[in-house]
Amino acid sequence: MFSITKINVKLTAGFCLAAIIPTFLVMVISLKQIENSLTEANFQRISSITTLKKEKIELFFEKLANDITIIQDYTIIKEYLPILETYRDNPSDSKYIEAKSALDLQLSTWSKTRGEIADFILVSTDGTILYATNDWHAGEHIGKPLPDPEGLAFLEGKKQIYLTDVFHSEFTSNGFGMLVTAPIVNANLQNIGVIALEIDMTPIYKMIADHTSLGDTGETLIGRNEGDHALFLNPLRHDQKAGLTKKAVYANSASLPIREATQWKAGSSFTMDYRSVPVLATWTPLQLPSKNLIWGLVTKIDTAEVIAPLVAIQRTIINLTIGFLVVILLLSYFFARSISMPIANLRGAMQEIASGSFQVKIAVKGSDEIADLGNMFNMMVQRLQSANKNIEESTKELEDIVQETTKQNTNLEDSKNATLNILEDLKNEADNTKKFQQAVEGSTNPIAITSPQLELLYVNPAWELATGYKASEVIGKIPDFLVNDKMESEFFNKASEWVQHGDSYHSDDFIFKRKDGTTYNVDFTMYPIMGEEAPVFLVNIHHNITRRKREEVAKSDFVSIASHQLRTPLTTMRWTLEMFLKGKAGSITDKQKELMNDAYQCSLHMTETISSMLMLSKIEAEKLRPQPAEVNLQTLFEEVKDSQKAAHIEKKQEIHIQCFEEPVAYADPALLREVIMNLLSNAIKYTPNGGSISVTAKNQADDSVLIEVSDTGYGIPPRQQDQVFTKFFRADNIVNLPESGTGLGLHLAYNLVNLLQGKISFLSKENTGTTFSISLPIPPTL
Amino acid sequence: MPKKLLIAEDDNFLVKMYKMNIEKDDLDVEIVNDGSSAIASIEKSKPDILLLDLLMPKVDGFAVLEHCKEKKYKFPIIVMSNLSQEVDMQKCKDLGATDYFVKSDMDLEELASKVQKYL
Repeated sequence: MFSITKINVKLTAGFCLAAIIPTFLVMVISLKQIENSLTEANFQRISSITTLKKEKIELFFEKLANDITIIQDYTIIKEYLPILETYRDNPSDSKYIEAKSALDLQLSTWSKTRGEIADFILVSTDGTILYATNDWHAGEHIGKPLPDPEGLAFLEGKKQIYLTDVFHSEFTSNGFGMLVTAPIVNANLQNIGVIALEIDMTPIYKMIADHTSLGDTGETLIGRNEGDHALFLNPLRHDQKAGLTKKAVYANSASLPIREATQWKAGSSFTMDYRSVPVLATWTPLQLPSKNLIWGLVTKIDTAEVIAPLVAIQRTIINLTIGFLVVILLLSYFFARSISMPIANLRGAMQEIASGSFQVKIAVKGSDEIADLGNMFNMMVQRLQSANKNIEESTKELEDIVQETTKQNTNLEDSKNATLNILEDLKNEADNTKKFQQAVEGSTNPIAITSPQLELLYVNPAWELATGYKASEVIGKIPDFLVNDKMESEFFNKASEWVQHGDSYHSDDFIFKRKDGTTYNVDFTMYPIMGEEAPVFLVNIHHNITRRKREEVAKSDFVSIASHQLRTPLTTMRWTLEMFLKGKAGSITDKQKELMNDAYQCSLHMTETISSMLMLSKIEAEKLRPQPAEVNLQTLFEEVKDSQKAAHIEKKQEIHIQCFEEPVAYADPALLREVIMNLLSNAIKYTPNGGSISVTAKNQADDSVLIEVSDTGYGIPPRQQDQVFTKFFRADNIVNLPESGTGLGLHLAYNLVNLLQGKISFLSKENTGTTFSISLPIPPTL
Repeated sequence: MPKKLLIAEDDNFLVKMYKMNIEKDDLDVEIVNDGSSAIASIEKSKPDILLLDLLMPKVDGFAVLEHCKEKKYKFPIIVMSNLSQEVDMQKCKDLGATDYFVKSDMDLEELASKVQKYL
């Protein structure tokens, strides 16, 4: 065997090598080519972006320079600027006003049509601002010098058109501004002042920051020459605060692109950027209409992003090569074996003949020279063999055959019976399956069956009807086309993960999208059909609940709008009466005043009733969801007391507040306030003048909080105490008092405390007083 | 220069009340009846203070708040509505309203003094 393995290995290795070397060479060459064309294409792309943005920026400033040249000749400015200067200390003079409104009319209109002009300023010959179109700006700056940090805008602008460098400005949308200045000369060629346009850099910066075709990392930036470094002028993609703050020191090799660009050179290269990340960059200087501006523009993109496709291709090629090599290896092995095996067989057979046995035959395959050798060998052995054969052997074989045939007949009968049984079983099974299928097909609920990976395996006709998709269009697909984009991730992550362990998933928050694009709310359930451990199928059933959802929304909107519509006329009535009562609508008699006060009190009462009813209807519609937070009870009590100030001061009542140390409870602050407000307002109403009321909070042994509101009032008659919390309850002993009550306050308090998962109870004695107690639940341990 | 007070309110009775109680010599009161007129007036000249109703025809008060937030206007905006629900108040606060009053819960005098405070 040893020598055969050797032949096999040699042949296999030979074939493999012959296949690997060219494959490897082709791979290396093509990868290099791809890399070259990728970087080439990217250089071309960013270079064209560089050129495009350079042209846009240069055109922007050229246009500004042209604009200001035209404005220099405006007669309106030449005519009115001297008037403004003459009357600058007397702005109420008619001549000043006339001049200002004439300028406003023309200049404001012009500058407002131009988004990049933040302000249009006129400067006097002494360098102070005389006029600005922007009112806000005018208020700040009239009488002061131009706001440019270098202070050259006025001096240079007196001589020729001048652009300042970018500076921080509070008068532009993005905080970056520039000034363009130019002299104004009258008919006698005397300098009478300077025009200054304040430029809002927002539009131009927006164009620079446009990352279209620059992938996830690329950007365009501009900088200016500041001697030994460049200063970035715009916010950078990877450093939003860099504008006018970040410097690129020329001595640093990572500053190459911006250094070259701000030293009047253009170019492109692989280099590093300000984050020290390798990038492809192209750069160019900017030609601007003012000689003092030495600006450069750089466009760059991370090298890693550029060669990302290459890495992907590389991985694919490696995978393919490995697959290819495995195939080559197998093929070479079998090919080698087809040569070495017959040789090995021949050798084995010869050894056997040498030992005296003639029962040898070699399996011969194919028709090559090796096969011929095998055939000749077989013929030789056959002749030797036939000479040694005897008749006994043949008889014995015959007997064997007869025996075998009988046995086969018996087996045939057995298998016939077995087949009949199986057919019977199959028929039953088919019947069951058919019944099940009929049930699912006939169901009016949309049902879909998917694989555990959510590929649709089956949908019933109701599903087709509901979604508008035909089964043939969707089988095999994942039904993400049914959900809106924002729901998509939730749908897949939650539902399919949830059911992996055998639980079913249910939600009524999904919105499904039909084939025609219309949507509907669904109540959606996903049941897994479990195999040994993981689900084999997922059954998905949904109902259209659009109508139910719509009704829920309509109900809550209706109550809120109805309450609004009732309050609006009430407001007018209340305010009208208030004006009468405060004597603002002329004098009225005491009798009239008394009646109007009654009407005024009734309007307050009605507002209160509407508020209580709105809140009750929300509780009943289960629309109120408490949002517990830490509440300082001392503060809450003080605020509630303060809101009831008018009422209890009028009745000369004392209100005492007493709380435990650091009185913090854990409850929804707005709802708790409503409860305390109702209890305190009741206590004030139903306690005679001069009575006393206390609001206390105690910390219980089990950490729960007990709030008590006690009064020295009329109390509740014992026979009515079991109805205190019912809707519209009013005690017999108070219905004749002048105090108005809605009968809703305690009902509301009771329901709110329930919502807060607390308990409310009371102790009351007629003509002695009432104490309401609320115990709030123990806060969750944090 | 008198300060400009812009009132956006569609209920004519309430408008009358505002006029009678807030108008003063040093105050230039402008009244509009819907949200789109309010936006137009703001764009024409910025008010020093805006009293804003929420439920109005054409464009509602929420949209006016959104507009002012987008434009980053800094003048105070007092919302005066009869919508009394927490969600509406929160929404206005998120949209940059300076204060929120439920009209039916306020005395007229109280209201006038609150407005005065923001001027």
